[in-house]
Amino acid sequence: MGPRSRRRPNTRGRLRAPLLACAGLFIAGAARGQESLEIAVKAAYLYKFAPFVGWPAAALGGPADPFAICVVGADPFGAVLDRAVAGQQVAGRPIVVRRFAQAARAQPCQIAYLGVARGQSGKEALRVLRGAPVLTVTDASAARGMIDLVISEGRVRFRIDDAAAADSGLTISSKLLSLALSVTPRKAQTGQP
Amino acid sequence: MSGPARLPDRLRALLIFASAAILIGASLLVALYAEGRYRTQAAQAAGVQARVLADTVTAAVSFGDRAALREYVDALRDDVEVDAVGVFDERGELMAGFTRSVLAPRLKNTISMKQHPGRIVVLAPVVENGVRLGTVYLRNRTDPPLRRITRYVAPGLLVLMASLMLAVMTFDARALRRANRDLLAQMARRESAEAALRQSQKMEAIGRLTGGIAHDFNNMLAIVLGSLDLLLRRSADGDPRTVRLAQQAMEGANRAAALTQRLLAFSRLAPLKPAAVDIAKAVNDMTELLRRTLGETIAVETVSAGGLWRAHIDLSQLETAIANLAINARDSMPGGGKLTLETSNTYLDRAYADGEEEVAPGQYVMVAVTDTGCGIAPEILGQVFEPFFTTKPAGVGTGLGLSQVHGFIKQSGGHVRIYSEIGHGTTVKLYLPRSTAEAERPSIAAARSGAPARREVTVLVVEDEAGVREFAAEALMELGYDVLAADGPHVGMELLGAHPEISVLLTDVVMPQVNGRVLAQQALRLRPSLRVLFMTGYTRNAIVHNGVLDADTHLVSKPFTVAQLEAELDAVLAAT
Repeated sequence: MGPRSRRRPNTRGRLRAPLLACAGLFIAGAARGQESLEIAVKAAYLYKFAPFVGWPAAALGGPADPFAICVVGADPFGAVLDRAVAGQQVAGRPIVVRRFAQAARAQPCQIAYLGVARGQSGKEALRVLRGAPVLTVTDASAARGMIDLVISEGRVRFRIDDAAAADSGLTISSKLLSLALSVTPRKAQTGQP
Repeated sequence: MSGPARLPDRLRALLIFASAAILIGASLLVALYAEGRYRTQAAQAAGVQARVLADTVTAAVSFGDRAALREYVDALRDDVEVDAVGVFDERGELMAGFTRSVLAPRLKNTISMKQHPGRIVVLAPVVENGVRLGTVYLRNRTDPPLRRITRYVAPGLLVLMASLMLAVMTFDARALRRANRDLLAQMARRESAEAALRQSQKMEAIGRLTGGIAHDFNNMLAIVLGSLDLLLRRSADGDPRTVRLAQQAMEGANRAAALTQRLLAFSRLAPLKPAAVDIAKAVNDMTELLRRTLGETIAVETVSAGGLWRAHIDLSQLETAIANLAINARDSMPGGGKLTLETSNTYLDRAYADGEEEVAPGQYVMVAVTDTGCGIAPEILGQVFEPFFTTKPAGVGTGLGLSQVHGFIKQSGGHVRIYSEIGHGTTVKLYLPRSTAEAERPSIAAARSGAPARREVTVLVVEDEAGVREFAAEALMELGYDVLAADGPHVGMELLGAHPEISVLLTDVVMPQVNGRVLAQQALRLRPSLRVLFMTGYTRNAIVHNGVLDADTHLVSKPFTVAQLEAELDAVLAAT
């Protein structure tokens, strides 16, 4: 597209948010700078998915219950995630970050980031959570969750398995689907509320 | 003629202007309303556009996908009304956008919509599931005032044209009505003119008829009168009873002759015979007559200036004119009054003559006829000389009285003025041209009785009527002339050729083949010394030019007496 090529690059605007997000890690050095930026973006993504995903009413618990983002297994975010969600709300609920060693069915999570867990492969974790109203997020893993984060052209992108989301009774906004690198479409409309 | 609901012109014009004003006012209101609607719609359209964009870009804003944002934003470039677009994230940083003007999209304030002249700025929040993700800025161009005005030019022109047409139609209708009024007035005038023409044609026809009858009757009277005259001459010393009977017959025949003269006057076939007339004497003679005819309630007074000139006019016509004026005066004084006849010498100077129609400056004898009657209204004063104009009830006046006065005066080269004051009276002044020939016509010699002397003069009589011819021959012989008679112009010319002793030609004017004037011309060519005397009762053609006899023409009017014939022949022979 011609008009896009004519646009002035707004370098400052593009870099400012990640820089702020990882201000604390800046001293870690140039070698780790790229990595920490990536982590910060991914941490932001975790709560940014929430407005575009619909959970069954029962899955959100009582009106006083917070919205929980769970990190299962190894936690690559650390404090970055806690700072990112601070002050953020989903459907009028404050966001909390919960950390678990392994995935379990009964865990009170709306979004589960499946890191590398000891004693539980990604596949197993996904199996444990299958059918549960939890948005599973994996990070460039062999076993892909409903949303799989990938690095493409130097940017953090994602692939979406809408079929799996449908199986768990979740709906993913078409607006989010349109940003995905790839979408595994849901099979039928029967699962839709 | 016009509708009963016709409005006065001023009210109509007012109504027309009011409706034109209402029309223009209404169209202005419609234009203002349309303008307001346009602005509302433009604002609504901008708001919808911004909301649609905000709704679409939620995910892209949320995840900072600038490529996707640019695609969304660039889609709006196709809309020429969009002046600038900006998508800002929740911290107010511009993520994507464009501008067509120097004004970059900026989150200056929190007002969601603002209208500026020529543009509308809309801010729409980017919200997904209640989470505020950013802001969309949209600036739309509205039509510039000039373009908006041009949008109303066509309907405005239509309204203007409609108003103009309305006005033109009104003025057209008014002009049409005025033209119609003029036409109706013209038609009325033409109708009355046609009526007058018909009347005049009727009078003309009656005149011709009367003239014809009078002519034939005159010829017969000529025979009767002539014969009676001869009889009286020859039996002057005969039986007194026979003489008295003949005299009575003569009297009756004379009265009949006077009647035919009046008929001829009425038919206007009598030619003017202008002569040097003593006006003072004529007016005095008329006064006696008027005193008797106007009645006891009207006093007749005469004021004559001394040393009055003679006037060159026809006396009998003057008498008729004075009589006509006296009759009008009497009719204007039904309760009685005074009629004054005044005569004086007058000079009309060039200044006066130039101000009047057909008046030559010079010396005139003035005759003023003044009454103390009701007067004539100023507005009809200009019409009174017109033929058939009359203020008298139908059947009383002919409308020819003043017309005769005017016609006669103009024919005589004179001038007439009328002065009138309502309630006080009327004065008609006749200006009669002064006669240059002061000598009176030779008075007719008294009839001689007894045997005439032999005259040694031969007269050729040409007359198609046997009775008249015979009487004329008899009378001439009685007077001592030698007579040759012919019943037509051809025989007359033959006799003239055969008899060189003929020195006088007495000829009728109206004859079947050749009229008397032509005969006289032929005869004079043959014999220049010949003297000619015409006899006629009917002088419509041949010897009359403009109603006046040629100066050297001698005429004896039928019926004539032996004495009249003798006098005319004496005049012919005496002329050099």
